Amino acid sequence: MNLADLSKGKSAVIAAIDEQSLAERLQEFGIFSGSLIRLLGTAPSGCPLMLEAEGTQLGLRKEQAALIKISPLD
Amino acid sequence: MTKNRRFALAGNPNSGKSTLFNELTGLHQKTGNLPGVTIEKKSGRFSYKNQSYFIEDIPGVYSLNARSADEMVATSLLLDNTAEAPEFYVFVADATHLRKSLFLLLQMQEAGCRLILTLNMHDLAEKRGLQIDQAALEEELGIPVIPISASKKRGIEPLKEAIFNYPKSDVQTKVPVKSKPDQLFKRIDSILNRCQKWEAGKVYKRSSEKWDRLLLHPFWGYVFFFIILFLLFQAVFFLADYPNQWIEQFFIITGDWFQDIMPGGPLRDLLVNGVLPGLSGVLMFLPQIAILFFFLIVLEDSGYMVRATLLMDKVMRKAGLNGRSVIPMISGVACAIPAILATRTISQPRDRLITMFVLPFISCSARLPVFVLLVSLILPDQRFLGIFNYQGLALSALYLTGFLAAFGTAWLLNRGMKKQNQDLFLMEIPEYRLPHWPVVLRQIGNRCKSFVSEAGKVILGVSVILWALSNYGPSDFTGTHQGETTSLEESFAGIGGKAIEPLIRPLGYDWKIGIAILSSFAAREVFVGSISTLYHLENPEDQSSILEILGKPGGISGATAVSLLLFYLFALQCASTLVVMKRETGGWKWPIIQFSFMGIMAYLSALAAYQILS
Repeated sequence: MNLADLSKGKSAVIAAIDEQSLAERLQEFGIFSGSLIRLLGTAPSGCPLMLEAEGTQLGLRKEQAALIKISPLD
Repeated sequence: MTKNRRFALAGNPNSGKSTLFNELTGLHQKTGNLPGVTIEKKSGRFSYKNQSYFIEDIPGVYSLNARSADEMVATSLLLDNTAEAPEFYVFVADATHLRKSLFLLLQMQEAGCRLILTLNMHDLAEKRGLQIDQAALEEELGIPVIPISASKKRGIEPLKEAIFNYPKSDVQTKVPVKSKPDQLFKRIDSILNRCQKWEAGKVYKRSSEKWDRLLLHPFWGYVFFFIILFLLFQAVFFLADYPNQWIEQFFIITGDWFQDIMPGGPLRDLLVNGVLPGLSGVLMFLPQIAILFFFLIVLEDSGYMVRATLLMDKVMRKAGLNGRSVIPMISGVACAIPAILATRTISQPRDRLITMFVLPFISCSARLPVFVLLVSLILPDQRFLGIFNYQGLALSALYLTGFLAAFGTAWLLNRGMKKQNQDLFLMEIPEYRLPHWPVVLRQIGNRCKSFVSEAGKVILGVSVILWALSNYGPSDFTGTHQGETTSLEESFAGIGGKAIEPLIRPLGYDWKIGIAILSSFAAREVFVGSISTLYHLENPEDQSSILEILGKPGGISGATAVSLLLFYLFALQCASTLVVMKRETGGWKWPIIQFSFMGIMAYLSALAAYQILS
């Protein structure tokens, strides 16, 4: 499952980030594998996504969100 | 007084650096451009206990790993190893988001920067139930820590005292950062564990979320976006109307006064028909420009611009642009030059080139004077359905056309150019914040000042040259002069205007408009000054306002006015834009293509409009 599949308002734990430059950029905000991430909402047609993780809110495009593997919380 | 000490302000974006900068320097600040790299550079000075300080404000970044052009400028200043480098850095951290701030701080510390840490918005953090142990933090980091609230002017004296007591050092060695982000964050988390405590039972929920539910709503979000843009244009017209009239009246009265008290001759003529109309042409538009910048600065500082970027990303990508193109596009409404510089945040070269190419289609404040004059000529200053000002509506339509031309061109370029990999699009969404009004006012003041001094010099110079070219002709030198003075038609300007008349006749322009167009290739707003100088010269006795003169027979007809509006909407009549484009694209190729493309489009649409309407 990846971040693009997460439904609005739900949280998940980041399992892996498949793209190096994306992982580096997220690390600057203190977001790593194991961080809790929540989908706040999306712009119309589902892109970009608005996310919250480690106290930071971020906007991210859907195709990049698809590179972030997550394990959902039950 | 001893030698100046130099230090710089560093920190993340939105940490309140500009507010602190404003608080420290007050009136003693200036905004300039760094040579060669042209990004806005702010510097200022203050003195405390007989010691004077020189401060630089470095653009906010999240880390020392720069990716886009603007980040590179900031990190090169942070890692400055030269003798010009600041002696130390005052790091402005947002106390409510300490974790993120500490990352850059630790990187800078490892790189060898000498630091003072200020915890800005300290009061807000406390209100939210967050307690920061200042002494423990000082011990962990080994640097002075000062809690402040820049917007409430709290903690400024202790900060000045800490700056005063900061040990002097001439040694400046900066080294590359080796620690990995996960190592740094491990350390940050252990520091915060010790130094930061949440008050029991207090859970802070971002108030921004409530607003975002509305402002980022899939439907209402767009409605608000367009309402904001619409209000902006209406305000530019409505609110600026009164100060504009005062300024115009002032110049009419001053002109009459000089006409009465000065003896007739070339000097009075130069002043009354050359300098004064030129000056009034510059100052008339100050109210509009101030209102426009007020809106742009408030949108930016409140955090709304980022939301607009998110909302528009999908739409912009359809046109081959990028969500990050939104801020340059909106800034383009003020001026294409800062807008072109704002494209430096777009890390993808192709997207950046397309954005820069289409930016000059967006109607800038230099076109506004031309639009205002021509629109006032063809439409009444009345309201439609009692709410919407006709002139305001026409202005909105012009701006919309400019945007559409920009999008259309971007779409064409996008199809014609080779595709590249996707840009990494990741933006922090800051919390909404009420703008700090003194900072807003100071910024507006700075922009207006640079408009008057930069555009003003050009406009005034062109007005005076135009006056000379319109008052003297070849006959003054060959001795074949007939009568007292040279008529406008026999002057150098008249001859030049007549020479291009065959080319512009099909657009509905006579030789006088031809002169005005030629003169406005230096800068568009010169048109208004030129037109008023030229028409005043033709009827020197007529002291009515330029609008009244142009409305009379022999002035500018409706069809000609529409044709001119389209010409000015599309043509790239701005030498400064071309120069900046050359520098940013690294050659004359793109500016030349841009200039020709926009010129042809301007000519053809003006031609079509005049032929249909007349």
